[in-house]
Amino acid sequence: MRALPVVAALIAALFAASPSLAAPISVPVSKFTLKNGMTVVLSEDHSVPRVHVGLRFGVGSSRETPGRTGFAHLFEHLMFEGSAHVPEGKFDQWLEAAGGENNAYTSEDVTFYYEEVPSNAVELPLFLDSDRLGFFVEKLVPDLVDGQRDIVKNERRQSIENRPFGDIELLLPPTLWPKGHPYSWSVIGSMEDLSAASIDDVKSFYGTWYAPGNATLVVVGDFTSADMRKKIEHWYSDVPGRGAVEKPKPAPAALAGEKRLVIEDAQAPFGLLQVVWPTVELYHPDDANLDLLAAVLGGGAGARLTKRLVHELKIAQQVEVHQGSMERAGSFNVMVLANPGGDLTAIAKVVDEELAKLKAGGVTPAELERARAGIESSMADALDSLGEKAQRLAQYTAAWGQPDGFERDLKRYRVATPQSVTDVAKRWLGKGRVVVSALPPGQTSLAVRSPIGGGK
Amino acid sequence: MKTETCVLASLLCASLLSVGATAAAPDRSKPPEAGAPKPFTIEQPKVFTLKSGLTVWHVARKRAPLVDVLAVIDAGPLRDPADRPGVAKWTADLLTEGSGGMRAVDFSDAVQSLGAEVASTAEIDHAWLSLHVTSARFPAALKLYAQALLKPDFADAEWARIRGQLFGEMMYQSQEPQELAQLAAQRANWGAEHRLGTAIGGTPRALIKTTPADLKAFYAAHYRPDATTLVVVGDIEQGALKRLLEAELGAWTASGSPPAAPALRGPPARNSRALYTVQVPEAPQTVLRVGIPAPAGTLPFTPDADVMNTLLGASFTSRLNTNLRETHGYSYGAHSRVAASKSGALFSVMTSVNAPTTAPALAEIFLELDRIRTPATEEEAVRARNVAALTVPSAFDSGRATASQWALFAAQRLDRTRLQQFVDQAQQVDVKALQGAALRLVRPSEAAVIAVGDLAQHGKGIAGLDKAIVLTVDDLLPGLAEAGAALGGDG
Repeated sequence: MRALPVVAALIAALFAASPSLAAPISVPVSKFTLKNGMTVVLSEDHSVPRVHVGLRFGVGSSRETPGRTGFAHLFEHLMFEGSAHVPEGKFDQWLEAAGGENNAYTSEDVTFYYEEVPSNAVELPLFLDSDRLGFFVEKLVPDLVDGQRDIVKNERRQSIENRPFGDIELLLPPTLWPKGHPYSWSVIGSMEDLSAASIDDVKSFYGTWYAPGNATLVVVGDFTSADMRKKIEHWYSDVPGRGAVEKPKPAPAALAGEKRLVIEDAQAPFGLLQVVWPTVELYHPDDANLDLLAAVLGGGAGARLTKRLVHELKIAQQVEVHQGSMERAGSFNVMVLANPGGDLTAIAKVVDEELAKLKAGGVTPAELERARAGIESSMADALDSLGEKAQRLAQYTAAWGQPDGFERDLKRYRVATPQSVTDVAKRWLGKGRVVVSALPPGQTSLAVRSPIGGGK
Repeated sequence: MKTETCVLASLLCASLLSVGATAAAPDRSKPPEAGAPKPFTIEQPKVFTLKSGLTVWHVARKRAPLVDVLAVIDAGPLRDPADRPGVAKWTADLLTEGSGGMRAVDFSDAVQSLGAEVASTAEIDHAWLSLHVTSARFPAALKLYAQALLKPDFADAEWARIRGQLFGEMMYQSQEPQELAQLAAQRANWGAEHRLGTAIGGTPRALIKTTPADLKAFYAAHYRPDATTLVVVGDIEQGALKRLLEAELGAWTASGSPPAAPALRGPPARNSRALYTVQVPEAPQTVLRVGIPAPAGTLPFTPDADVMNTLLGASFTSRLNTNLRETHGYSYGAHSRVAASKSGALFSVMTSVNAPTTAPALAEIFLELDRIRTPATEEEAVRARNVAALTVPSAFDSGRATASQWALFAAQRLDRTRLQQFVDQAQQVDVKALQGAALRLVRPSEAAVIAVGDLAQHGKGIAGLDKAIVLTVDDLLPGLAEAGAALGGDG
């Protein structure tokens, strides 16, 4: 490890003493469960006259069945197409007429819907959401499925097929995870499977996963809690419960050795190297340490890989490192954009050299503090937007049953030590990994050619 | 009874728990009606001037322990040297790449040790430097921020590296269809002679001839307290803020008067429709843009223009999105906007469509451009004006968003009460006013159409394809190959 330059060390010494956050992070909340089993979290925030209504379902692409990849996301689209008392198209029109907006996203584990409305119009999203949860399938017709199927295909073209390096999102999951593993296909799914999805699939998916017991409703914004509770109880009073839905269990997977994936990408302007190790699930004891390790390696110009590859050797343009934590397992990702015409093997060797140095020499206290300071700031960010706050509260409620989990979350990072961060590098960044080389057409000779090591 | 936790004041908890079962089932026969709207008053910044002449706009807020700072500097690309388009942006980029004798990596480490973010770049009207940090660390972070603003080094070694990265960004632009469409739209809308007709991020040809001396000269001429507005939003009181700013930025001086403002020319008029194409072989989608010059004097937050645009293409239920996405399934989404800068304003349409549907999708876009010039329904007008007016508070939700919003006002020298007036006036826009705005802004016969994709394979049926102006990567990013040779790379 190189010594820190004098001036930076001075600054670090000067400021590390003052804490990043002067007071604990806490949000006033109330939590209750409806008769139908739905968990509700309320948090008043009168900063702006708006109310954010977030509805989190514990279902994502990992709940899909073989031959129906992409279905959870297709289903998300269908949820905006109306329900028994909301004609097609009116979901969005009524919300916008009230000055509201809405959207949703689907990940491997979660589908999250939200509406944000002026605080005088808060009953509208409660009506719309409760209607699609309670009375969704009654009006479903094949035309609706066909229409949204086309839109999702266009989404896939736009976000994956017509952009440089988009293919990695499709090709990495089946390489990283064993056949049949719930993360071994992409969230967007295959065109063939999207074409095959039928209206019976829609009904069955709804019946299995879109139960109040699998939902967390979080309402944040300009309201009074007692009044909001009454409104929620009213609008969900005719939505029957359908029992509990089992939470997914961790499903860790390991790779026996190094697998290499070479992608010739028609739109790639230069090479991209991605090295991926299967790691731990969200909130595993090693998860926070892996987040901190990612920051030590790639979180800023002075982070180890960025400093060496971009600033000293100048053989790369950009480095990005992150621990992708999901409910069943996770992955640690190192991504490096090469210079135009640059050789990925040379970059991969440096990545391995730096990892070996870190494992042997350890992470320094200053590196750990830098990594931790960024995480503390991002926690404060979550207090400063209705939507961010709603997502955090929903996440903590689903994971821990405790909406106000900010300090509990921070504690995972505060207990980390240079040794604990070094240890997760030794434990998880070993020989079993995927090395992706994505390159412009005709440049596959620049791919990582031979096993380049790794190892402990 | 289900599990229940409550961390509210005990009185409120008691009232929550006392809520009994509700009696009547919900009436789902019609959507519930909204209550009386709450007025929304935009908190105006407190404006004060430091001894150095630097103007500060300050909004104090307590919601989160955070402070955001945005310096808005009259140093945007319209001030680029004529033979070096890009210098304004690169000068701004380098503020965070070494200052006060501290190298880029050391500066980054110092910023990160405070959990802070410092970033900079240039946009159409201005350059900016931002700081985002927790309030506990604000005094320390402000020292680093001031160092970046006042003492950038423009060191040879950092420029040599950054130049390679900027070349990489240009290579990316040359291959990414959306980026190519943006560059082609700039060229089509503003023309080759106008600075905005060329990439804001500059050309590869300018990149290879630019030296740190060029950047230092640009900095010396344009980075001055009397050409800067500092927007500060967050958890800090005015007294403490003034003391800190005087201490860290008080020494900023400039001699003489600021350089003259560049001559402002709007987008050139166009008398007939023109088609510009960029060929991308095998592209699964065609990226489409339509651009129409807006009348001189069109400013951000013009009520009738924004309500019209909301109905046409700036909301999910807009006509363009409904047509191209929901009705025809050509696209994942279609949008329009009225983009105003100090130089002038443009009305634009943006979408990406499944390649084989390029011709019918373009026909539908023009059908909507024609249709918006006829009266809308009352229901449409109400919906559009409510989206336009009632979503404004969202722009002031976070401190970061609030700072960005005021930075726009500073950059374009807009009247700070304009947005509050917009909130009130947008709700008065009726069907007639909406149509008036459409007749003024949406003039399909004067449109530039930009299509980026595999037109050789999927262009059949596009009106005017035989007379299209074919743009190449070298037109849009001149000197890319030369730059590749000059900058070497390592391949």
